Amino acid sequence: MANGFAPVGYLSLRQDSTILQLNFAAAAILGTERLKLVGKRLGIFFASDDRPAFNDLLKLIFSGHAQHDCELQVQSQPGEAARFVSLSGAADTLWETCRLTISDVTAARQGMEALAESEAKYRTLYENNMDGVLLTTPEGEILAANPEAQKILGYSEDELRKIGREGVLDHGDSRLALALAERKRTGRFRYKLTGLRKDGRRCRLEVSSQLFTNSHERRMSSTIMRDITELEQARESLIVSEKKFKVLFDNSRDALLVNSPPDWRFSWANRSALRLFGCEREDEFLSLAPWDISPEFQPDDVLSSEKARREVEITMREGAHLFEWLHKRRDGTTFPAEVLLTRMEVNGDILILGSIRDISARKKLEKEIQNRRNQMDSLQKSQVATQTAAAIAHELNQPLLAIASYAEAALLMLAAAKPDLPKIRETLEKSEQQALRAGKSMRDLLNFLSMKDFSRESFDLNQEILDLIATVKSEHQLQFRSVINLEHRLPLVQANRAHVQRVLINLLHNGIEAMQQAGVSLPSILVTVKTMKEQNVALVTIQDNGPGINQDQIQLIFEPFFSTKPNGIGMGLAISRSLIEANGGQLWIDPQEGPGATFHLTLPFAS
Amino acid sequence: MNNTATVFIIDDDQAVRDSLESLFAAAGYTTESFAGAEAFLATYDPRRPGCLLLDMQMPGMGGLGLQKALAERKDSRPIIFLTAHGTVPMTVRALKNGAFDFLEKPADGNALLDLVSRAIQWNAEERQKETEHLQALRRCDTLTEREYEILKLVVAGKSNKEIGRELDISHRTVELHRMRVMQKTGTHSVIELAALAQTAGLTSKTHIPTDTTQEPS
Repeated sequence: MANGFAPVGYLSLRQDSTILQLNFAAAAILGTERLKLVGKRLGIFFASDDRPAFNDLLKLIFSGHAQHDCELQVQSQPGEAARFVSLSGAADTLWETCRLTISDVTAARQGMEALAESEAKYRTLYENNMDGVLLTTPEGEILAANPEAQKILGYSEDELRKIGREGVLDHGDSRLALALAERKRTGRFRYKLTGLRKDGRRCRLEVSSQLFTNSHERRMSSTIMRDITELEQARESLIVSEKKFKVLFDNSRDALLVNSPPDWRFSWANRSALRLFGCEREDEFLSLAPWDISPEFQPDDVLSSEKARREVEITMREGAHLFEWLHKRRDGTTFPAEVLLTRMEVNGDILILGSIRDISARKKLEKEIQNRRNQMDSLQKSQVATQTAAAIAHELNQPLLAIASYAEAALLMLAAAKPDLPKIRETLEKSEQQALRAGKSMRDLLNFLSMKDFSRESFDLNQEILDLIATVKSEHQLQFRSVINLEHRLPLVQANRAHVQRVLINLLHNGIEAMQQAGVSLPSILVTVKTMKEQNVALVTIQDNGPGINQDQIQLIFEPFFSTKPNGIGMGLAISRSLIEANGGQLWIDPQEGPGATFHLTLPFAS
Repeated sequence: MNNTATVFIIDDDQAVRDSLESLFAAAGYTTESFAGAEAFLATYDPRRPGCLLLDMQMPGMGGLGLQKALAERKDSRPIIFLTAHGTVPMTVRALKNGAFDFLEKPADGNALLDLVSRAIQWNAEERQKETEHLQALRRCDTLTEREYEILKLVVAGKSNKEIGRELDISHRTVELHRMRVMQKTGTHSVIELAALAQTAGLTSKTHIPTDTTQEPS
């Protein structure tokens, strides 16, 4: 102790505290020369607050109470640190003087104060600690427990004192024995142990304990515990989910890669990735740079490195990015792939997860489908061509037959005894006209087959329809009623007029023949023209009141070769549709079954 | 009644009709043309001789439709079909139904003239046969039942005695009937009588074509 080493001063005083004698130590403690002190009252050396206490001390001493300790603050000079002295003494036998011992207790007193302060601090720490703190004995007694320890275990401090270690730690947990053995050997342990709560639940505790010897030479232990149940659970679920993800990652059919900045090298690759690129082991793959798994150029002739930089930029900007990419295997062969890059943030690092799927098979299939479609198209085109030729042959054969007949007639006339020259001339002129007609049919045929070199003009569709119906009526024996609903101020349509005429005549003929064959009593044809503003087209609807077309035939009527007519070769509607489509319109049939067939066609406006 | 053989041209194409008319007119035929089967039937007269030049593909009932309609009317006038490329099945049907022949458009004028001439001749022969048949039938009109019986047995080459035995009458009676048959039919020998019987279709060998399903010669 600090005061143990301090010198003790001796003073003898009279009842009024006048100093009669003192030694050097006392003078030193009081901070004044020894000779100057003799004859002075000791009381003036103490702080005014403490003087009553000093007077009381003297009274006690002179009333016979000896050895009374009293601590007093010494009157100090301004700027000087406070000093404390301890006084004790006893009266002389004559009760006129007394002898006092004086010692400087400033240091001791400061120590005490510091101790008190530190104890308060520790108590605060102890009581408000986030960890459970227990004062225990090596034998397993619990002497004290802080509020957190009580909270963790669910027992009050008194209960803990009663049940001790036995009641709060699971002795079935073999780690407890290990922990205790370690503390015996090294003086401390830090272990994860199983705690037993008052409510019966077990908890995972991280426990650290240290042996020490207290002021009474008794072996003690301090024990700190922390409830890590939730932490452990979280960690476990983290491990489980990590394992799950690892399994998913490893077994994904898609190749998965993780690229890390700044050079975007691979930091992870699953088995599919290794397989896809022809690598045996992961480290073999991870040694590859991203440019090692792509050819120098992509199919669009852009440098792979250049293009990859752009794709990564998009990924970083948008979070995820799906694109097609040409990849290269270890053996140098390439394959088309679909790549999904996803930006990820893991512990503040930005990574890119790449998912790569080989789409060779899909590409091949797509190509095959395309090839087959092209074949079908050309087949259909050639069929259409053949059938169109057959359809037009009829038309072409008419003028040819006429030419041959006129020519033969002219020859016969020439062979007569008196040839009728004007008649022969007339006959030959007719023959020439038919040759011109044949040529026109041939040109029409060629134009139709090529479907490109036809002229378009702007014309009044309403007028065209009125003219056509008049023509058709004059040509046919069948007298039918026509109802015509035209939209006034219809804009001009833009199309090849001959095509439109041919299609409209075909549709009108179909309707008339159908009505004729079915023997409809009041045959009539309804023609409607109106504007479809949204599409900027004119819509023509032609409806007859014949038997209509039954449901299973509706799907077929636009197919080449299909015909319901005994003499039909089944090209009329197929050609009509081609013609209207070539002119930027559409031709379709109302899918409703009769009575009557309803055809619609559209033609684009000129404007 | 117009007895001149006529080429009936039925085609929906005006130029075809006109050119064929020119051709047959130049060759000295009488022609008449129609724009369709319906128009032809509208002025139908089965008694007029000649042949039909019929377009296979026409709007309306069409060539095959007209052929069928004529067959139903027992019209035996020959039909020459004008066909187009790709109408083989229809042509086969037309021939099965008794068409005289067919020509594919565009047809050679000479072939057309030749075919028409044969058709008209065939038609004339048919009409001649028909006329003779009718005349023969008329010559036999006045015969009684018994006289018919005697005629059939005579042309079968049986003697008066044989006939008498067969009919259980005296050969004198047979002789009498026979004289009356020759008298009524205006024949002078058994051979003449046999020829008449055949023309009239009274013997089993004779057959007068009346339906159009018979193949043309």
